[in-house]
Amino acid sequence: MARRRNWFHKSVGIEFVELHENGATMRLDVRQDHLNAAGVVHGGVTFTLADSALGHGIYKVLGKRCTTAEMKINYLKPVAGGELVARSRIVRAGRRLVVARAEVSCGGEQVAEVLSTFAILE
Amino acid sequence: MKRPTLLSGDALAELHDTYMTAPSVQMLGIEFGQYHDDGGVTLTLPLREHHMNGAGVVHGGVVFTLADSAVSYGIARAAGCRCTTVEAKINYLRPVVAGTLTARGHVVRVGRSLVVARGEVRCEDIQVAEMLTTFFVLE
Repeated sequence: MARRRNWFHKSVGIEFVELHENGATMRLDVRQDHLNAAGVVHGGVTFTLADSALGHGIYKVLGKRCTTAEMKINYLKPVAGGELVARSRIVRAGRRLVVARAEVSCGGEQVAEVLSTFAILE
Repeated sequence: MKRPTLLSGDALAELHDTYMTAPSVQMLGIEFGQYHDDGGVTLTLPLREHHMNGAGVVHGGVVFTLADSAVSYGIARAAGCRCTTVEAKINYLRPVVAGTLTARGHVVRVGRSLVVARGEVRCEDIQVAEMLTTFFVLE
């Protein structure tokens, strides 16, 4: 399959911050079009940011392409605006599956906790 | 909380406007599909280039956002309450490269403070994701 630029992550405004020995940090500035009907950030935006930090972190740390097989998110606090930051950490890297977690925070406060399973593609 | 009643008439029209004009729904290009007799709501998403990830398949965040929107709309219609997602789990069953996604929510249980619901996402009749969520009732 032909590779191309990551359009969706770009259109949401997600930016790479830094790579760690066990994961990655990604960020976004909350925009008006990230809000839901209640005027707070849609859970899908928080989820997308965490998924990107996880997928990118696993790809960079392990050097292997992977795809999200399962992901669970707990929302801890609503977010009205500001900067969202997601930090991923690999919990265990197996031959075929990787278990990783991510923390999403806003203004230094954790707003979501994520636990995921990724499948290695190659 | 009062016993669940299916919203209709003006209340349903108002709910429809609230959901379908939400910035996040418009940004993604989510469209209304249909109402179901059991209270569920189907939302659709014609896929475009900007929904794809670096591997040329639909980004998992797109599938999740569509499912979360359909499930919460269904809860608001079936249970008549405003709620917020406190937990959501999604299993991706197949990659999606093109077409139109449809998501439908099913309410599993409405409690006083929590609602458990599930969502199914399909692409051209093939299920591509399964979601299980817990919502917190706001009013």
